Amino acid sequence: MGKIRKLAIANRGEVAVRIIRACQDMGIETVLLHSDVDAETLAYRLADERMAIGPAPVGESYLNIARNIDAAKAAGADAIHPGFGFLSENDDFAEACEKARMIFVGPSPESIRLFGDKISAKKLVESVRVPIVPGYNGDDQNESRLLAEIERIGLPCIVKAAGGGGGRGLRVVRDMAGAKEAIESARREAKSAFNSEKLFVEKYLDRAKHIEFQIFGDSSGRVHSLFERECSVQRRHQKIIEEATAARLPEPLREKMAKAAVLIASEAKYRGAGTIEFLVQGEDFYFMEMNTRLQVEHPVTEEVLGLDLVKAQILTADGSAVLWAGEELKPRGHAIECRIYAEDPDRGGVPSTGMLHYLSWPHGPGRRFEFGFESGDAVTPYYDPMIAKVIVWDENRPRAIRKMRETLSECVIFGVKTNIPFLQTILRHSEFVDGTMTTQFIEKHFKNGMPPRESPEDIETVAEMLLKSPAAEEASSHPSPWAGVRER
Amino acid sequence: MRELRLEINGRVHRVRSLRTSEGLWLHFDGETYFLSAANSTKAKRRADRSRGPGAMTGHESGNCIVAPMPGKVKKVNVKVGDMVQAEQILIVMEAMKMEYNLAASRSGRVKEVNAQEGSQVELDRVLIELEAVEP
Repeated sequence: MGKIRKLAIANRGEVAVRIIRACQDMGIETVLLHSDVDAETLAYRLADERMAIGPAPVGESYLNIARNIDAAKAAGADAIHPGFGFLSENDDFAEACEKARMIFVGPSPESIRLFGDKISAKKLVESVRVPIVPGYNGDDQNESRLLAEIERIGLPCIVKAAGGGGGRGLRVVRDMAGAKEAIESARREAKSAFNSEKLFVEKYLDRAKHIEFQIFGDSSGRVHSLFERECSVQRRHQKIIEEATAARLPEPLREKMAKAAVLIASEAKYRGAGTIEFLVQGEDFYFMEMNTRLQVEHPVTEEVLGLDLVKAQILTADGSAVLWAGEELKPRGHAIECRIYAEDPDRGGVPSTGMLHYLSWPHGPGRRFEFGFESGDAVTPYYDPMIAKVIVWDENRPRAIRKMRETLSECVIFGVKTNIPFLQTILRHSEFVDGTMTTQFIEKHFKNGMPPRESPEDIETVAEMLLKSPAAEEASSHPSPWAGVRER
Repeated sequence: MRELRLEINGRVHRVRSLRTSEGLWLHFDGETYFLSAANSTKAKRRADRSRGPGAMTGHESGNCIVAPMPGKVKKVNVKVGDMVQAEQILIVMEAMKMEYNLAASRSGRVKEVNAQEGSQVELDRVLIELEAVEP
C-alpha cells in the first residue's frame, strides 16, 4: 500500500494527459514514455520526466515491449499505466512489467489473456449462462473454412481480428461474392494493427444497440457494476458519440445485464477497470467482448457517478481501497461524449493532418475537455486521428444534447479540419434525439458521410473583408504577455 | 488569431479568423470554415464547398485517382492496360491505422500506375490515371 511513487505512462495524447492529471492529484510523479515525434505534445510538457522510446512507427516505440520496460526501469518507475490501445491489452506486456518488478496498472496477465482470446472468453461467458452472438472462432483459419462458416452462420456476418478492438481489422460481409475480399482485407489490417492474422466470424445483428457495462474489481476482490454506457453511434465500428446512461434501456433489462456483467467479471476474479460490451436487440442481449482496460469513453461514467476511474485503477493496483466501494452508487443526470477526429467532414471523413494553429475550448459548468495538444502542436499521420474528447453533463438527456450542441459550436480549431460539423448534424438528427438509434445509425442515414454543408451567404462578405485586410494585423490583434516565453 | 465583431444586415457576429499560407480559417455563427488560398474567387469557393462528400473516391479530377491523404499504399489491384468499372476498388491505402478503399470514379482503361505496394505517398499524389475507351 502506497508503494507507487513514480508511475510511467506507456501511451500518448489525451489519455496520457488524463493519467498525468490523476497522478498529480495523488502526489505521484510521472514519466512519459514517448516516441520521437511526440515531443511537441501536451503530455510531454506536463509529465515530470520524459523518456524517448523510439521513432514514430508504433512497432518501434509504443508497441515495443522491451523499449517501454527498459525506459520505465531506467527512470526508476515503480508502476506502468498503459492507457488504452497500444499495449493496454497485451498480456506479455503485463507479465514483463511484473518480471521487471513494476506494478502494471490493470488486470492480471491471466485476465488479459482470458478475455483477449475470444475463444476462452466465450467459453467462460457460456459457463455462467450469459448469451453470446452466434459465430465461429476456431483455430482453422483457412479461407475455405472461414467461407463455409460464414455460410453456416448466415448473412450478414462480420469478419473480425481476433486480437482486435477499435474497429480495426473488421469487415461486414453482406453477400458471398464479397466474402473473399473481406477476409483478405481484414487479415491485412489485423496483421498491421495487432501483428496477428487470426480472424473470427460472427452473426451481424443489424438493428442492435451497443450497450456496455463498466465494471470494477476492487482490491478486496469484489466486483462492482458502474452502470452502462451506450455507444450505438459508430462509423466503420469506430465509436463517435457515447453516453451514460443508455438512451432507452428498460429497468428490468438494465438489472439483468448488470448482473450478467458482474457475474462474468467475478468468475474471472477480475481486478481493476473493465468493460463488458453487449449488443441489445429488442428484449435480448448478447455478450460481445470484454475490454480489459480503461475505455476511451470512461469520462461519461465518471460524470454521472461522480468518481475518478483512473485514480481508482491506480489505488487498486497499489492494493488500496477505493472509497466508493462501500456506497450504493446511483447515476445522476446524463453525460454525453463526442470524439473530435482530425478529418475532413466535407470529403467523407478522410484524415486531416497538419499544424494546429489555434485551439480554443469554451469552458463552463458541466463541460469537460480531454485533449493532448495545444496551439502550435502538429497532428501527425502516425497515430489515431482522435485529437480530443468533449464531454458534457446535464440533468437529463435532452438538456445534455442541447449543452453539447452549444459547446461544440464554440470549440474553435484552426489548422486541421475536424468532424465537429458532422457531430452537430448527428446531434440534430431525430433518431438520435429520441434515443432509438442502433449501431446502423451512421450507415443508414449518412452512408456517404455528411450531407453537403450550406454555409451562410454572409460568410463570403466576411471572407472578402478579411482577405482584403493586411496580414500584418493577424499577429498583433491579441498581444500576449507570455508570447515567446513558453519553452519547448 | 484575430477576433472581430462584424455587423451584417443589422446583426452583430463574433468572427474569429486566422490566415495561414494555405488559406483562411474562419469561425463564424458556431461553425468553422476553411477557405483555401488556391480557390480565391467566390465562385470557385462556392463550388468547392457544395461538392458532395464522395465515398473515398480520391478527389476525382476526371481521370485521376489521387491520394486523399498522406499514407501508405497497402494494395494495388490493377495494372496498366486493365479495364475498370466505375466504383471498382483500385487501391487500398492505410493512414492513421485504418484502411481506405480508393475506387474508380468512372469506367475506363488504366493508363498509368504511380503507386507501389508498401510505399508512402503524400497528399494529392496522382496514383492511377485512367483513360476513356471508345464504346
